[in-house]
Amino acid sequence: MNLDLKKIAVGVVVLTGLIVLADYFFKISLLQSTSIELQRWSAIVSAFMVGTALINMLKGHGGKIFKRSEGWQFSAVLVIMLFTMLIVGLLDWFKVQALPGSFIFGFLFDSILTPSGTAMTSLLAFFIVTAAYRSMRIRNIDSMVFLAVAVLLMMMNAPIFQVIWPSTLSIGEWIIEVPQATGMRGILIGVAIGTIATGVRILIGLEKFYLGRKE
Amino acid sequence: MSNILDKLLNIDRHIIYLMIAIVVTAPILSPLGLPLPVSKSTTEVYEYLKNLPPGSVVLFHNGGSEGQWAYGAPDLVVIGRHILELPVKVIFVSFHYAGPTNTEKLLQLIGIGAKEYGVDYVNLGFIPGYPQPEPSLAAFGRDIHSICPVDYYGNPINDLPLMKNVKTSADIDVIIDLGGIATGEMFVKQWAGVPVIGIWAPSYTATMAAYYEEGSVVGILVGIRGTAEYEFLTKHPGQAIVMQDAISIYHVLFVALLMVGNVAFLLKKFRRSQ
Repeated sequence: MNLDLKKIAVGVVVLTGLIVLADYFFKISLLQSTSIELQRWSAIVSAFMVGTALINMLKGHGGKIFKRSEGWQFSAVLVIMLFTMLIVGLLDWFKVQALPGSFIFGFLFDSILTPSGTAMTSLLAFFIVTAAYRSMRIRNIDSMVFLAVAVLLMMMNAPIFQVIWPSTLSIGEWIIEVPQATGMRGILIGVAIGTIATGVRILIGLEKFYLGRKE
Repeated sequence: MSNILDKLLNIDRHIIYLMIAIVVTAPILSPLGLPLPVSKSTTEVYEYLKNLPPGSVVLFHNGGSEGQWAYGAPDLVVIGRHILELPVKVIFVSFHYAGPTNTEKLLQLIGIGAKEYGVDYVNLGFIPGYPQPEPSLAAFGRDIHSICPVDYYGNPINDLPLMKNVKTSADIDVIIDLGGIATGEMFVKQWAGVPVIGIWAPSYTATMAAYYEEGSVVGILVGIRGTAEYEFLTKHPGQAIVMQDAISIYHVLFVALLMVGNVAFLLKKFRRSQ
């Protein structure tokens, strides 16, 4: 007997979707408990994603290291750090008393991971200014409006401007609460309609992007 | 003249980097003490939390990454300190892998005072799902105990007095969401009816403006400015107020550079058209 795995996968998705959707509209205890169980599985499946991501990353970077491709040294650092954090984290988790897992984990987190992440984030302060300085030029009416709004919102977020021009706070708040909220509401409604359409296509088995790309 | 305009249009980026470094560092070393008007959304957060009935359950979602600690720590400290001073119950949780470690650092930093673990506050640790935690977040709201059977320290949450009456999102009175992974919108959608307080960057606040206007979001601390205002309101001046001076001067430089670049650009365009 030949099993069509794709059809089974589509069937599972459709059934799962229908149960969770029906639970939203009908208060039936069996439906409710099944839906909660399915949602609980989604959290478990999410945890498995970390494992698949690990395999995928090792595949990509491991290949680079073995082939000595350009920049393989960075891949090697990544793989070494990955396993270091993993082993130290596991030692901490299993409470291996003979080894100072907590101390090493804390040191790696506070002295390597946090400063590296902070440095990456801080670089934005430099790059945003230089990029904006070069790109935000008044070329037409649209770019003029864009620049004016950007400057007004920056003025709202910097209290020094309220000393010079007190209205910048209320102007900024008005921009956020009126034109921006209105525009965002339109986008949200559009996204919601698109999501419903995609959801219906998935439920009737027309949308199968989750099966991967067509070969 | 044309030569000057060209120079103004193409300032070397290293000079801009140097200017930024100076304007950011100087006010931190020598604070200017600039006045700080308190915005409406910050006042709303303060008033909402202050007026929570005793015994209310607050879910504190710490979604900040390890990199966010540098500028997210003042947010965590000021809000964390305020809610631990109030007669409310606090549940710390995170859908970001770095959240529990940051929460531990926070609790060590501010101290827990007279609050008792398990009775007044709990740390549920990390719930898997990152970087797209919406399904986990929805499931967590439906049945907290089955998604998170043990707390961060491995204690069964059924044994914690605080968690005995907290089973679903309906048992939570307010969510405080420290953003980093866009969970604010997920809480609004998946935990409908539970008010959300956001501690978000200005860019994410723009996304959430519609929910704020509609009322699902009851208050927002916008970036470091919001945190500085909150430090002022709670009378706990901290890092954010000092950082606020640096951010103010940084924005002055930012606006000045945009003005210089555009004036030079328009003058050049005008000269070319003549």
